[in-house]
Amino acid sequence: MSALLPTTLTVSSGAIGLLGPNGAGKSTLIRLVLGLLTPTSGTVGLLGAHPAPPTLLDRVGYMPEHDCLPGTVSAVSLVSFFGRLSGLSAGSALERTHDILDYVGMGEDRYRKIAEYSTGMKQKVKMAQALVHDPDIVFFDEPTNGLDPEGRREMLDLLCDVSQAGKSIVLSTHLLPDVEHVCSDVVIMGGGRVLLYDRLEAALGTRHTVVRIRGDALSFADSLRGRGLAATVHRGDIFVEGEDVSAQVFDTAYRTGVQLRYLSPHTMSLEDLFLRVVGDGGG
Amino acid sequence: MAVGKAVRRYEPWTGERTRMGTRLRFFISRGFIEALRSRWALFILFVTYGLLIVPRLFEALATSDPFDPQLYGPLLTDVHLFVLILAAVAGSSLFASDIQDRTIVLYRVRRMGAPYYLVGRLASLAAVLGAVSVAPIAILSSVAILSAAPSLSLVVDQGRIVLFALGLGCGVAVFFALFAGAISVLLRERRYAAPAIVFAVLFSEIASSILSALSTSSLASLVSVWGNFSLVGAYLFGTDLSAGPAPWQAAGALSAVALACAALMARELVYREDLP
Repeated sequence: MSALLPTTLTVSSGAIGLLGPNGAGKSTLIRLVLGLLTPTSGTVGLLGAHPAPPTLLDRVGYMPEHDCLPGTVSAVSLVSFFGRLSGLSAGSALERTHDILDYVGMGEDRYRKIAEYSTGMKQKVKMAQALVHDPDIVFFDEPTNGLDPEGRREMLDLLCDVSQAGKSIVLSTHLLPDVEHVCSDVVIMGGGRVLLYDRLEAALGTRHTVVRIRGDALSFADSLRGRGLAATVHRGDIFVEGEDVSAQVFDTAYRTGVQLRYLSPHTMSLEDLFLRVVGDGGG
Repeated sequence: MAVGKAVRRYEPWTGERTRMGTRLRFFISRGFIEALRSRWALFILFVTYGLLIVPRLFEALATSDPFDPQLYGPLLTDVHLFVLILAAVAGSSLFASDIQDRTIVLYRVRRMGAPYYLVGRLASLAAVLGAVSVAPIAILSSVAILSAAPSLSLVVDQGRIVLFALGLGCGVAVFFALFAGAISVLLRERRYAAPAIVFAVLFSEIASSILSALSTSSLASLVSVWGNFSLVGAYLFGTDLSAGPAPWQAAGALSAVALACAALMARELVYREDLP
């Protein structure tokens, strides 16, 4: 059984939101890119290299979703340790550790054992270990999980700042507002395949007309498509691409004897886009 | 007056990355230091040196033959129990902690990857075990050679005894590091791994005794870990070999177990993909 179906996806640098329902394949995709899984076929490239050599991992950071911190050491000790393992010398690892812990907002708590930390503090330490070696691309897997609204806002602001500092980030989440806040591009996955990859602005910018009818929405959408319109059905609503399609919709309804109940222009939210794409993709 | 929140900006790091060898050395030395932070490990070291090594230092000071196998052979036999307990104390959490805490993913996504992680962890444990199996030989031989001041021809002629003793000490450390590491990986919980390491070796001794009593074949004693090390030691030091398996059979049995442990760890840590 394949967790990810054959797909070709080339993403550019920037802040990319990786969206999808549970089991869509988001974590599998990240694990493949990081080399934690071996693809059964095809190749996975990273930072322009196909396949990515292990040396490239010095330029990659990863903040896992799950708890992964030993409770017996302090944040300073842990982050500087992973800094050293990522190639920083003893002196610069300690200096960089304090810089990055300041950056993520860890105060004097950095000297306490991690077992005593709150969820928010643990998330900060996980972020610090992902950034300590100054990677070019960082994978964040559900970074706002378990955070209170203030902590979440702080985390999202940090992600924006990392992205603005010229780092590529991949944000895997099921929280759509997080992607809207941080990302310039969006990848939507469902059922183990990539359903959409586009600039967020462009994906949301497409104007639609929502049509509701009395009768079979699917066959009416087929009729619209027969006239060259891009029409999809989601939860009984027919979404027709474009704003000035009213005349064609009316005409189609007249010809097919369908009663129109609602017709209105519609600007899509990321939630609308997600539900539509995942619904169409069978996710 | 409201105080504004300080604006934090990401600062890139500019520096040259160290080589993989440097990172591996750091990883091994950190593992060694952390293992010695355990009060149980320190206690075992203290007891080993207090009970076994310091008394033998006086023997070494008084010896006229620094290459007498009797100076090293019995010591290597006596430290077996301490090596085993130290392997249980320091080795039980070798991989189990990282798997339990799921910290292992942070190693695997770095350039060092799983193979370096495996080698580094094993080397740090072997170094800790070497503190009771190799270091005492080095100390004793140094003291004995310095106090007896042998002629150069004697050093050239008999010096290999010390090298054999050091080699056997290394073998003991590496074997028990592999053995403890494999059980740590297999059980994934320190509280189970520590007693399992001790019981597995003790069980091999008991099983060997029972099999030897039941069977006429001398190969039954190959089940004993310590028995095999004693056989190899007796061969290296040229002492009398009792009727039993050949030394190469004992070395083969130990090598087979060590290889099986290494293969198990490689399968679980390097090739297994469903780790957290």
